[in-house]
Amino acid sequence: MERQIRLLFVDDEKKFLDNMTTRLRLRDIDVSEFSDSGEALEAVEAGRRFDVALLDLKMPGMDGEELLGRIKAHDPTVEVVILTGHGSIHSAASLTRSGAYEYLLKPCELDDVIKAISSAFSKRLKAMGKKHAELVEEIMNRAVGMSPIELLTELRNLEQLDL
Amino acid sequence: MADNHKDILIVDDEVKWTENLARRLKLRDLSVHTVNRGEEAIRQVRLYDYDVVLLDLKMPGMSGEEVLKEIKNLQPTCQVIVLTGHATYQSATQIGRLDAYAFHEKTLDFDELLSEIDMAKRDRVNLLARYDKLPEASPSLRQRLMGVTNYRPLFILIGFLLFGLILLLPAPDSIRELVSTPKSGRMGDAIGGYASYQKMSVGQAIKDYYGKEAGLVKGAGENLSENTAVFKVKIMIGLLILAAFFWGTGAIPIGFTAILIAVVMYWFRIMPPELVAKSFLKDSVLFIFGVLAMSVGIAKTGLDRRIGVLLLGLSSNMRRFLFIFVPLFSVTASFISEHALVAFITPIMLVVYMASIRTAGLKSDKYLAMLLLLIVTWAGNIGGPGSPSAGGRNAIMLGILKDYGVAPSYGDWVMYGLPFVPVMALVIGLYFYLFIARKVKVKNINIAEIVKAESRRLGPMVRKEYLMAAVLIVVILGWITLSTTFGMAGPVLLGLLLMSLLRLVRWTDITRINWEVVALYAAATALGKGLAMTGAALYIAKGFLAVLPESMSSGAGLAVAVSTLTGVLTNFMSDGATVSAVGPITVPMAVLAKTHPWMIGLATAFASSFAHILIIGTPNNAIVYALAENPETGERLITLGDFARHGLAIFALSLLVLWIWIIAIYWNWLGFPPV
Repeated sequence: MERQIRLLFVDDEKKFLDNMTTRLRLRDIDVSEFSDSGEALEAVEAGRRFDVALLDLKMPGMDGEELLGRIKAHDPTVEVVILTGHGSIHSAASLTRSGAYEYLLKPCELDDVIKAISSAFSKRLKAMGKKHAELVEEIMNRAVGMSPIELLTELRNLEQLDL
Repeated sequence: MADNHKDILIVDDEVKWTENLARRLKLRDLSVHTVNRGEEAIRQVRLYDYDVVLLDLKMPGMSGEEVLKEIKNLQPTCQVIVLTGHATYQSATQIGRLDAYAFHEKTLDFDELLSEIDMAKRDRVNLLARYDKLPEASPSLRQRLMGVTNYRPLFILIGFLLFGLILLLPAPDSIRELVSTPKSGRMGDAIGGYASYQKMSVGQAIKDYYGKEAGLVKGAGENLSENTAVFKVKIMIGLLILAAFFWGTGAIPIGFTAILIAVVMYWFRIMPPELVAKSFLKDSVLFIFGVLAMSVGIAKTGLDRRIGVLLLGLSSNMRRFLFIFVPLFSVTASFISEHALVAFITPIMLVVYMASIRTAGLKSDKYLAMLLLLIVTWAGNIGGPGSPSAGGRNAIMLGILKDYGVAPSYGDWVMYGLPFVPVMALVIGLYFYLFIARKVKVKNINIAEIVKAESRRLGPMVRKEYLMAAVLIVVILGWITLSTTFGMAGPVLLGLLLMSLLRLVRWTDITRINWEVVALYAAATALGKGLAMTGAALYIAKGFLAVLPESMSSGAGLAVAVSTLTGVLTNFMSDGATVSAVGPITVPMAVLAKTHPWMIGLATAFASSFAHILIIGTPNNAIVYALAENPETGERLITLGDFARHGLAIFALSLLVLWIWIIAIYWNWLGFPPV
């Protein structure tokens, strides 16, 4: 059940954004590009589904760090990759602590970006599997008077399923 | 704050630097500890509650990263500031992922360090909120008593009260009479339903036989006193009620209920230790261990996927899906763990669903989703009666029948049970054809075409799959032809050994099986043995028979009664627990009612597969429900109501097929061998 990775790509440098988007699409990634971080957030909060977000840090209006926080608050299983031209060691540590999956510096090889995106995607798949398991467990807890033992085995299996 | 609270721990192998920094921090009225190795830091964190740890990355022994990971493990709310002489982006991102508060060069100015420490302390409040869940309103008494699944204090209390009550209340005279009546040897003997009746000598009472067999009396001439024998009956009845109550309410984990059974049987000396232990590990328990371990191997080699894809490949239209795929799938589920099959096929069904609505240009098609997904659940469930290896519940029934000396062989079971499966599957297919298929909006579904893509992804069958299939065939043939001589566990354990020699599984794979299930089955056979041996099972069976109406107290009528009871219970309890609680009673009922024990035993075991109604009835239901979501929109495709409504119909149909096709027609024609 291979499916395309749905990528949210936000960068205020229009030229870089367009160029990179074309190259990512050639690699079979479903890219939604935004040059304005506010619009990107609107799309997320309106319920558009993304697997991975690729964010620039320094942007007018809302910066990458704030956008990261807002995206994570909306859905913690969305993974975020930072791609910045103004990186610092301090911000690398602080952003990964805030939940960024990977911190990349411009200029960066396309292959490295894709590697980061796809491993972030597989982490998200695992997290979604867990979410399903929690769903079942929650239902079980509500169902007083019933004890489905073998469910426990299957909950474990659920986590390993592709979604 | 507690006494062991300290402000700062400095971890660095440069002793001079450390001491210097500590001195300057102490001047600012901060409490500071210093250590020079990572191992010591971890010990300190175990002892004290630090606000902030200043950690060097490069140290001899444990690396800074390992120390950080360990500290966060022990004290997630501790703020770690990493100070290093050699900062790289790679180490910075790694440190950030491990939840370090900040990352700095060692050359950091002292005042900046102070303000960073101050910020870290203030930020700690956020961490405390994340990990300690700020104290909400304390739970009400009711919430506390109800607890959560696997720990429900109220039910634990009620269970033990019930148990104590049964022990303390005076025993009814009927129990005294039962254990003291000597065997008459004539037809219609009052104790004719006792498990070891055939082995008793004429004139011997249950208490005498049980006392000798269980080694509870020493001398040759001595007999067990009536009071002791009655007390043991009461213990086993109390234990049955306690265990069934715990299984049903989830008061404590299933595995621990199993241990509870052992504890009671040991400490109340139902049998001497060696016999109690022996009653836990029977052929049927090793058999179910082997079946679980083999399904791990089957899943690991991907053979279950291969079989699923093969079966689906035949479904080029709706009719072929309903009337060819469904019966084949059910029969397969009789021999291979249905859970593994269902867990694999369900995601494929979702792909089929998505592709079908996309081609038809629809947004959603509720009835198509129901058709594809619910049918998989129920077709999987009804594979249960087909063979003993379909599920542990069948093994429990075999164990109980063995206690009465009438266990059918693997081949016998298949002969009496398998004809149920395809017929029931066709009935399910027909039900969906008549009531659901009409409402499906998508007109052309060609599952075979969609599944081809999946099949291409699996590639051609590889050597490991051929080997696994060969082992599986060997084991099934072994069960069918050799189980009377080598038992049920013999062939499956041989299969496991072959799988290991062929390098299809490693021991670590085997450790992944759910031992809780094995413990449940072991405890169930021991419970059955204890009930049978003390005469408790006979007593309860007599009680039940007395309340059944005349037409249902023997023969096919009795089979109808026990299958209804089991069928209802299994929807609320796990199937294994249901057979464990009901089986030890229904089998002696058969003996008392002069009905063939197979008829009643098999009807009990078969009905335990009919948990179609609630999503928690069996893992199959839960898997399908949990996965039944449109992966793109998150729309729920099957509701609890769909399950309950159609599940109830399928449940009723299952019982009808069992009564009419199996009991009234097939078994009547086949007959039963003399006991």
